[in-house]
Amino acid sequence: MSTRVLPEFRLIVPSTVDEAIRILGERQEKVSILAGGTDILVEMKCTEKGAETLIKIGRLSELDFITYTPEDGLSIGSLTLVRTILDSPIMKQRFPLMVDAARDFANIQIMNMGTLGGNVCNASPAGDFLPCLLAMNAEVVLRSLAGQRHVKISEFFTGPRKCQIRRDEIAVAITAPGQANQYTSGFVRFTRTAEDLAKVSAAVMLNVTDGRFRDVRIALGSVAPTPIRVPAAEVFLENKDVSDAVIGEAAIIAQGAVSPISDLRSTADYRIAITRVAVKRAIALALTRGNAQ
Amino acid sequence: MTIELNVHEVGTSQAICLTVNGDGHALLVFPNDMLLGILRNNLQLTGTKYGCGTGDCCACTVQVNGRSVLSCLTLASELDGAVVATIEGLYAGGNLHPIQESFIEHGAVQCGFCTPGMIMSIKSLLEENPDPSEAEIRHYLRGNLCRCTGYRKIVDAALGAAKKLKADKADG
Repeated sequence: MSTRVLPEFRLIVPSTVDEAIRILGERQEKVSILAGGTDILVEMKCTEKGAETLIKIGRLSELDFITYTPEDGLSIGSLTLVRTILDSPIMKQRFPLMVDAARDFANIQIMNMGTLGGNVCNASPAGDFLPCLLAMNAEVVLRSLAGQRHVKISEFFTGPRKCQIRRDEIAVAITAPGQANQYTSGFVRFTRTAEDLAKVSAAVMLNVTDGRFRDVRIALGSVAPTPIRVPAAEVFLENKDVSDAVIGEAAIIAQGAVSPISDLRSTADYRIAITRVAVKRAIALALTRGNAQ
Repeated sequence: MTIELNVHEVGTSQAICLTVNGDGHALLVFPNDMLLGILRNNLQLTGTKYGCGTGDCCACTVQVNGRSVLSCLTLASELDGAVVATIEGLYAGGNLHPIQESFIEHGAVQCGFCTPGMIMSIKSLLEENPDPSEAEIRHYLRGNLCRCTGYRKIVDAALGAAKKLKADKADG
């Protein structure tokens, strides 16, 4: 294997999303979508899989946006760079868990190249934004010649690197509901070294009213074939007074929901053990912030 | 409505124009040409290093339109009209760049293979944040690996470079 050489491929560069969708709908051969390139080009180099057709959408500026209103909620264009999320005032104020994930994302160079849509559609169990989006009750907006459909992020991932996107579809945006209640949130990850993939990550989004947990969402990455929510721990915390004791108990409940593998980054046993710590720290981080106004 | 699609077949090249360190270049590139190969093989700018080819070491860091990217994962065909800065562009008019001077003063070069990527990353950092703390420097450079593990001196050199650039600005 030589990562110096990229196998040959056919490259199509549409200038609009409509063009891109038409190509995907009409081409007979398998067409892969190239956004930031930080996953697919590495995979092509490593597998020496060439002569494919790639459709380059990374430069379609119509898919690079972040908007939020309390009524319409959040909408992030799929080609929004990780770097843009880090610097976004909307994300800082409303969804600080996404900024947590962006801050430590791989390295600066990848942050300047990689896109949110790429992270979602690559569907790695270790994708940093994925537990965050689960905790946000996000949806993926997919467009094809047949029209547009929304898929709940909780149903989007079907296995390691597998998701619900069809061959003729492009993910155009990620949406999340507006916050009728005020929420706080946080994301933490454990890694071998700063720039490595997560061994375990945890994202939480919750509301605290009168000293009690409300509408708690807890999601975990790298501990199952897909990123997962842990409803048992969420239900346990609902309406409980905020205390270290209940947070600790919820974290133990979360441990029961995980089914990690052993790989070069960590053992399954360690991942289970550290899940408890990740959940505690993510909740603690969210509580330090207080509900967004 | 007819739509003109930009389709680059296997084995066919396309013309691009890009600016590298202030010089304009017209090049024929194939869909699978990476910026790193174009810099090193076509333009003989071998200062930018090939390390891993997979985005894990950041030895190939250059700036495209002012932002740090990995030239080993950047398709050359995307760069029509782009402005690229490499390590070779820092040496101007017989003078080393203050970051380069600081690397020499702090002994921040061991085998030297990571050095061009480190210096280009530090250039981007100091353009974004002229007065970084040690923690901010380490966080920004987290992707740039030095397998001689000489990070202490590299961080010192970055702090020294920030001081130099501030002093230059004050004089300027």
